[in-house]
Amino acid sequence: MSVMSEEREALKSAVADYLDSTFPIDKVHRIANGKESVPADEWTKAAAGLGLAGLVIPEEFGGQGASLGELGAVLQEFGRTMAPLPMLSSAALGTVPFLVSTDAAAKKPFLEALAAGTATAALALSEGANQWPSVAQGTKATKTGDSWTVSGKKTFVLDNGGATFYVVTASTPEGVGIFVVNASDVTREALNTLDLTREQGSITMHNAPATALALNAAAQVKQIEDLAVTLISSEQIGGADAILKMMVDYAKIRAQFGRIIGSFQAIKHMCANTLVDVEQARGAAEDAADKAAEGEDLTLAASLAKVACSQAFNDATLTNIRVHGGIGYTWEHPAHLYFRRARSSAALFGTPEQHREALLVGLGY
Amino acid sequence: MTTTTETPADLEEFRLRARDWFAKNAKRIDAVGDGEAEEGETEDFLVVARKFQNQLYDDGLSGLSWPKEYGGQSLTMNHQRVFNEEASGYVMPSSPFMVTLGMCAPTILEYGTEEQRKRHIGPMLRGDEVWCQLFSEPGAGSDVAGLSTKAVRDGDEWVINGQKVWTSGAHFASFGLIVTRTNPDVPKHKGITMFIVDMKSPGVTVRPLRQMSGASGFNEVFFDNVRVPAANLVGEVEKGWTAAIGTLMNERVSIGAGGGGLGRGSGTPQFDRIVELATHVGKINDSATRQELATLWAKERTLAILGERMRASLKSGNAPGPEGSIAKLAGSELGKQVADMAMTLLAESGQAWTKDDEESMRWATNVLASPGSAIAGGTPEIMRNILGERSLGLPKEPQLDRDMPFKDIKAN
Repeated sequence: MSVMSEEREALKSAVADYLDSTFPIDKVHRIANGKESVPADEWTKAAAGLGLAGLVIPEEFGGQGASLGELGAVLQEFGRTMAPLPMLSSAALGTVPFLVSTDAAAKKPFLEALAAGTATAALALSEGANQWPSVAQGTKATKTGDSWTVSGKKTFVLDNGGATFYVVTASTPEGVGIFVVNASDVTREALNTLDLTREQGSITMHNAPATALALNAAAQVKQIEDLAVTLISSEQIGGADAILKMMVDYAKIRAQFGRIIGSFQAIKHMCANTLVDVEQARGAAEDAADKAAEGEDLTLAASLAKVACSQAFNDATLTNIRVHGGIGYTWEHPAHLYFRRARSSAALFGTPEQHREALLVGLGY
Repeated sequence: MTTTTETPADLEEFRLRARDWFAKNAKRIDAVGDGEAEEGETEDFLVVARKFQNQLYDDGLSGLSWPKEYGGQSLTMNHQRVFNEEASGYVMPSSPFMVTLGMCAPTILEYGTEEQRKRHIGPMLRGDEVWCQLFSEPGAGSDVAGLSTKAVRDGDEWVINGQKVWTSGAHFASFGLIVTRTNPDVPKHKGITMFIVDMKSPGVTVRPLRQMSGASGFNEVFFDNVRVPAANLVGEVEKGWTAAIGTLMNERVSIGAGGGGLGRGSGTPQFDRIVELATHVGKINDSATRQELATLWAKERTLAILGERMRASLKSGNAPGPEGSIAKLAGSELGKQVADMAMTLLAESGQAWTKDDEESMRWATNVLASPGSAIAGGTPEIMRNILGERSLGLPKEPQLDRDMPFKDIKAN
């Protein structure tokens, strides 16, 4: 059941067509296995063709000026196909801090490069596991004359194998600030990842030259975090959608005991339970994306979306493997790619447990 | 069914009108004792509820998105949303009209004759006519299409004989929507016809049933040569199953998503009660309890969002789909979890309490009522079949009786 506007549906459908033809799941699988790679100019092409790289970047900086609601719809398609392009990492997470910043002069060159697809950005908030909301204690920014430098280490950075520049939070004598550092000024170490379809790294900075996007920015950091949670939830619901379809399609063709297995209530009810979870999570994700688009407070809506989408996506990927039986547990079958993605996304930007606690605090308890 | 568009200024004007109305005519939830905020099923409560609904109608605030020609306001779903927002925090005595407005009225609007719509929908919206839904039978529970209450044509009338059961509100309803078997020689889904029956007709006997919670919200209803005018036919002869499916889908939306357009009070009433209990028993800072509380809030809030989305989809002209089953399933799961959590928080006080401990008493009633909401409107298993088959397109279980004439089907 969809309640999206026609315009948003049309954009979603155009992106779906592009991704289905460019990144069918067997191709994503081969890329994940290192047997194929993404063409170097694919992102620039997507930027020029569908305007994906600069989707939410204002027109004055060369972008499409679409709302965060549109971005959420597009991310659903990226989650559904798991296309290995920096849509979430750069066009969503890496771009949001520039939207939040009010320093037009500082952000202009970055946004123009991002919109053209000639550069990618990555958001580096975390300094270690089990910290949410993020803390920027180990990373420090220092001002000398008019210039800033940043030192410290960030990790669990979704960067699709390396970004052109990183947006980091760092502490200053006047509280937390948001800074941009160039990739050439950081040491990046790739992490081993459960999710084979996108890369993560940690970055170490020693007096890296930095551009200040916002100072005394606790409110902006909170806003960036709420948006990050909202956007990854949109991507999660797309993945859950793909898995529901995968299990139902299989239940309609696989025969055992002389019957199509989807006619057994045991299997049918597993699919129905997944549908119930997915439809509810979709409501929560789209409600958060709509609120983000309207600039409304996201404290509760974002955490709700993350809790609901994490649970729906995690459970769906497990149920899908059970509906498939042995074949679903093989390396060759794409089921595990989504199983891995679901668990990775659930852990990033606050675990469901942390978001449940945040919900109660947000409700005043 | 919505015809008007609205501007932000219209909506704002409407909001102020609704706010003013509630301030004048409704009680705030926090201003009344807990017991008063509960919706009962007694005749006294019906009097209160009817007075409230009459006032709502007379002041042009009932049936907001319903067509004007039948007594509605022909406003938009945004007006309904604004109304619901303003209703939040007030006691809404709406439960006696849930079946009437959430299920029967949409069926009459869609399948009824022009005369039936003109005759009934206004009084339904005003709360003057309470309706009941006469579907289930002792031998036709999950398999409603296996019903055996007979209707036989006799001149300008139909004569009904049989028994219905689990009929909510039959003891105070003035009309009922009944499905009957009019042709036993064709397969079960094909020989069913729907009528409007006047509950005061000679031959109608209503007997209350007592539920496991001790309350008596529903009844068994006996039909002994009850005569119904042919003009009371809803839809076509032997096409009653289609209309019945429509009613049932509306029912699931109502049960799961709460309220047939009457507003729903506070956004997360079940969470509000359970968090108050957790605070009261001193466990609000216990981390396991907090995780569970947040889980319940998340479930109740997602269900509310789902309800808003379903209503938005309905108002934009789509018929209720099998999605009502999603709300119904999620709603009964939430009810079960709230009941389980209440028993955990109350511990021993949930099973024995002093005579003045009203809180434990109320929770006991709530806990004992929770299995009922899962069954009403179709069991969770039937909901999962509907979702699997109609929403996801999975094949049916092999059925032995589907193409067999009704009279040859094995029955108990």
